[in-house]
Amino acid sequence: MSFVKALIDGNEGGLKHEGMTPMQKIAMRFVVIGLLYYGLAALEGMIMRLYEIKPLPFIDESHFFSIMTVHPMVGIFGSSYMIVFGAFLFLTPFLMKKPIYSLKLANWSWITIGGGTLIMWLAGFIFSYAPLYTLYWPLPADMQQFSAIGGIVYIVGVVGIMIGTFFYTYNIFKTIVYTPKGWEKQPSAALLRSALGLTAIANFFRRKDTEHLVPLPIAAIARGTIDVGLNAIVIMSAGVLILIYLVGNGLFGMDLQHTWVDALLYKNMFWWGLDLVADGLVLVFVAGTWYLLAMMISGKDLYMQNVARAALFLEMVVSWTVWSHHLMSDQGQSNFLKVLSGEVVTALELITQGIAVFITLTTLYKAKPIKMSNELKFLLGGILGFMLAVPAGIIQADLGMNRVLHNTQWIIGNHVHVAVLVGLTMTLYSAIYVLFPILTNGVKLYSQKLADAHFWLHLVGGIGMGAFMGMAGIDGMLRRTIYYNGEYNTYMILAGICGAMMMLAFVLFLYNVIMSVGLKGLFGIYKSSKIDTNDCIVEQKDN
Amino acid sequence: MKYFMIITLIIAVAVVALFVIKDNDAFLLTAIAAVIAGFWYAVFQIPKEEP
Amino acid sequence: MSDSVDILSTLKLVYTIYALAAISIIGWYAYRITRDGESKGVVRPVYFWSYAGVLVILGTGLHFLTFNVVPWVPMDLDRANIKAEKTFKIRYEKHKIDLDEKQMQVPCGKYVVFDAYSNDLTYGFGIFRQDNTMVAQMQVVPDNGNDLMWIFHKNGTYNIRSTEYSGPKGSQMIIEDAIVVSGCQEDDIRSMR
Repeated sequence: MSFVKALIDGNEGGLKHEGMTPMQKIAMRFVVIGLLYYGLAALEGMIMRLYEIKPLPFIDESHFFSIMTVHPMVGIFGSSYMIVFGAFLFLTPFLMKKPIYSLKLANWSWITIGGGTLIMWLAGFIFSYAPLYTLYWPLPADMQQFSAIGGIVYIVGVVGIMIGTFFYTYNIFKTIVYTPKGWEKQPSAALLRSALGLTAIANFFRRKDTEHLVPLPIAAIARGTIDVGLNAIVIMSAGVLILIYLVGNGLFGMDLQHTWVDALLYKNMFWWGLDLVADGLVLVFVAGTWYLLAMMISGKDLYMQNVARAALFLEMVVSWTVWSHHLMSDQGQSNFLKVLSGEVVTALELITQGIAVFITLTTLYKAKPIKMSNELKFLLGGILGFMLAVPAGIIQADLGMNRVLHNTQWIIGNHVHVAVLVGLTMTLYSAIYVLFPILTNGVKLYSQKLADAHFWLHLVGGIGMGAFMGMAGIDGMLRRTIYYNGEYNTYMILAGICGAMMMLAFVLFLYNVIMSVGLKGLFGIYKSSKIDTNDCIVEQKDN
Repeated sequence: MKYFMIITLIIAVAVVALFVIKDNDAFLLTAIAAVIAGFWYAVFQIPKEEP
Repeated sequence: MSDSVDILSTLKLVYTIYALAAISIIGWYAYRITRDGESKGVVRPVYFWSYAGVLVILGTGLHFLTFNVVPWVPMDLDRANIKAEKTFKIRYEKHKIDLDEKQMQVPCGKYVVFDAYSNDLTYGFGIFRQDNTMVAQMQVVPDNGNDLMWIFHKNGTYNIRSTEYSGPKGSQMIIEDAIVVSGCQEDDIRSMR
């Protein structure tokens, strides 16, 4: 088969999009856009990697920082949220063995999140709006450095993302609790309480056994989605506040004073919200995904299933209480909050995630020997990522260590990027490799060699980049800073090489997927499904 | 529609709170206590499950 | 008395050993899981609960350890009750750092407080050696108190740098040789002029 024919038609016929259900198409729409935004984030990341080696002459400082502003937003919301939401909007009805509540809402989710991310990105690209994703008050409303229109475009984009997020949240919970047309009435309240773990908690105190009404992965999806919804409320609130000042001061020439809002209180609320993502839904979703992958790969029940469920609940509640570890170096923050919230409850995350690692590895081990498939490779890579990044996080969430690590490259390198790129992304790749045949009705992967190269380049590149950034941070290199005298050149060159490895890994993966699916199939994903059903796959039977 | 109104209301309360509240600790501790108390209340409101 | 260099080099060593161990464990696991063989022993609950117990000890133990070993932790927690020998006021405004005392003269072995105030944006107050390694830092949140109590045990000349992003205009907020410590028996070899 010629290269061009393979590119257009895919591997061994490629993706026959006409045979895809609406749910399969919706899931793939999310995943494709999520992967494209990952590529954008990776490209931006490489620009910044080069800049940190030597500032590029054609990008001025304000644009460097606007790239830095949009990069995490594209990575978190444009990429990770999209892939996760696509997978969970498919898996929730699939595992609950009932149709999704609303196909329309699911479609509007990817449209608003994808569109919102693009609008937000344009605020950085065109208007150089650069308050960074942390939006520390009153910087987002600083008319001395940024244009009002740039800020307004940014907020409009973020609002779009959050609206899509609310659609997802509502759709997931409705799918769990609703009664499909023609079905026997579902015990909605009982289903919700079971999904959130409330029944198990109540029975624990009543010394009763619990009969779980939802599968374990649904428990993880439900608990993490609580944090998704709560975070969206916080981000929207910050967005509304910033918009008031941008419109009031920027457009109408009013004199709204930034002092009317206490910057420390704002920072507390903002980080309370954002930790629902970083220390909440990420950990809950990842643990749930590990459990699902372990059960699918091994074909066995999960080891210590009740403990796993309890740990998911604990992680959700812990995520509401840990935000002060972002304020360890804010001297106005009380010692009480720094110690209790910042150190003590944060340490619980080592336990919940550590338990998830043990349970997943044990479940798999009980089924040995297992073939080293792509999904198993990436799952182990994801576990390794969190084994490295979570202890790094616990170390920096310490009053002694934070004093010398805060705002250094250790935080963003060793912790954030290893967690996100090795821990989270490799877990997502594992899920993609597992779901790929289900979502595409059995499309065969074009090249196993490319999949192997993808794995090794990403793993080594991800850990390496985190390591060199971390070492630079230990030597005093700050984050969010430009060094003009080559002070950390050696580390930055090595980190740049590792970043390039990850960029190459992604390009190889993208090429592999396109050659498997074919361009016809890829574009066909966005055409309406010819199959009139709310079911996930065509063989699925209603109860 | 009901959920849209509730979420809009919560966001409005949060934005107003940012202007009004000055005591960091008191607000945060009250908010956390309210969340945990609300959750606890929900747990113990669960009626006995029918077999 | 340990300083940031001692603490951070220990971190580098310990974390590198841990990282290599974690990579090896996963590598070994990946090898073993594809091989035939008895796997019954690993699933006993006692292993699981012992492991959970170790995590609890490590997670909480780290903070007890640093409280006792890292000298600035008890000082920072108790700073409201410790009398400082000197207090230095530092003002941040419009991306400029303004020192009341143009070169802050710090006596060796005495508690001093760096009291930073911003009336516009969030900045950072970071003390750095001549070799760019960090001594300490704190956030400078506008219209809030930002006080860092410190004690120096080595002579040296230190730079101040804003450690928090305050927009593109604030990316190079640096005052060189802002702090001079004298009167100690030992020199900070990384920070001598």
